[in-house]
Amino acid sequence: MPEVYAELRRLAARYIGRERAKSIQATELVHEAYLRLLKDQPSRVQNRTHFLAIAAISMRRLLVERARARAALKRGGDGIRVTYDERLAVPGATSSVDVVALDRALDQLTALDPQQARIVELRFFGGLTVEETADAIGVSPATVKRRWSVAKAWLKRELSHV
Amino acid sequence: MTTASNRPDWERVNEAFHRALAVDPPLRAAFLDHECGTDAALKREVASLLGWHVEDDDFIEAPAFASAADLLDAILDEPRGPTLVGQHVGPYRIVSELGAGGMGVVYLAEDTRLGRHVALKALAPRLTGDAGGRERLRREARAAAALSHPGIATVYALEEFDDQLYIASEYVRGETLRDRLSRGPVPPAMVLNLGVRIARALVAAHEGGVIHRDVKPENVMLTADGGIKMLDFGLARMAVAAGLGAEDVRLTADGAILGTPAYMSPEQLRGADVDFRTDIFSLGVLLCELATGTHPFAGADAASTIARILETAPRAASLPPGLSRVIHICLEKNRDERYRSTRELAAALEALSRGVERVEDVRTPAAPPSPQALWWWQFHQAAVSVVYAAMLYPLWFARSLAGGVAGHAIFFSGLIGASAAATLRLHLSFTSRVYPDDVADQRTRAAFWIRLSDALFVLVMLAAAAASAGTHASLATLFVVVGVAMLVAFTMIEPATTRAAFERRTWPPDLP
Repeated sequence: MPEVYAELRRLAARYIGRERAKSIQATELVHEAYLRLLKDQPSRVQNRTHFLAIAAISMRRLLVERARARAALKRGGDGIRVTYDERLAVPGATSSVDVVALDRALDQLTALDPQQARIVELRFFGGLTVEETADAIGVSPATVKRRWSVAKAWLKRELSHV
Repeated sequence: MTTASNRPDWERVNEAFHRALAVDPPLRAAFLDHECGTDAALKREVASLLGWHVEDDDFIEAPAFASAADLLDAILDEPRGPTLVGQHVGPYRIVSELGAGGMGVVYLAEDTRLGRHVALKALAPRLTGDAGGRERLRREARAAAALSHPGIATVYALEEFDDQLYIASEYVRGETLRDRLSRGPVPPAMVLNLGVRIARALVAAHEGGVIHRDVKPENVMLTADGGIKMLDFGLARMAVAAGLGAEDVRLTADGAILGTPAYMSPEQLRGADVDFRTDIFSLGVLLCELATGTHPFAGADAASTIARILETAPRAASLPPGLSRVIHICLEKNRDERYRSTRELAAALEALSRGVERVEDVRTPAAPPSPQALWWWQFHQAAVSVVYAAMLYPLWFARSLAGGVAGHAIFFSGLIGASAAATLRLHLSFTSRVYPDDVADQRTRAAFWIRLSDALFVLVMLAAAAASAGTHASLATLFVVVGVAMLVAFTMIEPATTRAAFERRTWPPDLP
């Protein structure tokens, strides 16, 4: 397990590197995800990629729960029903993503093509690079790129229905 | 969306998508006509996806955690609704706001029925979402309300007005230990005094079946009369019961130590089931911090604090040796190595505060005995039992030699003494092997009867020797020798093996 902690810290450093101002929250988030990870998979972490892959699932669950709780709060707090249009502003990006809707769409994509959904999970929720994703699921980086672009188009279309 | 019956093959969609992508946009429609042939569904799907495709766009390219920080902020800035100050909620008149935390807003309120002040906690809506959660919350509140101890802020009631849940509890004036800590470390004598009081409150709670789960400086109030009151008993459990994980509670709890599980036990961090020993660990962290002014596992960030709690020995320099030993036992990573009961911890702290430095003296079942010493003790018990049984045979001869009533008295006294002593010794031997935890208790209970049987048996040996001395000198010698040997065994050998097996203190180890 000690390598896992070291990995956790590297992961945290990586998250922090991307967005300095949010570093504290990002660290907390990583450690939240990590606690959950311990709960989900106590000791079966085999290597770094495997760790990142599991972390991606934890992160997905965590974020979706958070987004749901937030939407529920808004509803309970002021009595106005807010649909899931709680779009998250992604810093530096022009588009924003509704995490809850994305989660649902991702479940549908899983039914269509589990591997493609997994790629999205690893890349978007886990923050893995194309190469790391390829390593995690055992395909070539070129394949990851190709599947990724179709998945993106598909998800964008699904999200537009919400 | 296409329906299942005419859904195009997804692999073909992927292939066609990429092939079409290689074609100049104006020519794509013609290319798809050619590529898909008569498969209209395939053509429609690929064309649709191509329509959504944007080269090098940033849709979901930035990982989710980049935006996650906003989500955390959103939770913290949850809408609080209008303040209730000055209003009436049921029989309560809201006087002022005491504070706000992850569980909700706490008000100072006056219970107009009884004319007393209470702390009224308006539970955050997210805690009380569904009916099942509410029911579990009620159950937990009931358990917490059953606790009655001067060191515990009493829970009076779980109230519901206008679909909003409130917990009414004892209003405690004073400052928290966190406030006290901000002025620097606490002198050792006061740490012991506080430790004893907190431990006693925990004893009451644990014996009432309630685990605090969130023992930390913020949750202990110093009262004006020098006592302590523990707040929020079982609240962490209530939050879990209401469907929130402990981490959700922690994340939003009281801002300052946002998301820092600095007082959680290793088992709590691992997400395992916790028992009262998690509170013992947390109290150890708290006492250490009080005495030294620094947290024993503090790291640069939450992740390294977690890692330290899970893996690294606590840093507790410059503690008085007695207090240091108690704290280190509380902070054992393996909960089996902590105090076995909260009462034991309280007793250790009490002994220290009375000036008894030797903490070992109050840790009753101390260390597991060393296997070798235990083996000798068991061997001794078995050997004595065998000698008893064997001596019944020569005693049978002594019976007829002495003859009449005296002969019967000698033999049957010997039989009674031998059976009683052997049975008790074998019982202890068995207990020490199978239920090592109970052996101390059993030894105490059996000690008197074993001594009595031993004494009886030695007397029988001497009486038998006297009876057979005239006619069978060799038999008489045997009785005398065995009698004396047993006397030596009971007075010298047995106490030595017993001490080696049960009283040699290998624990707690000498700490740096």
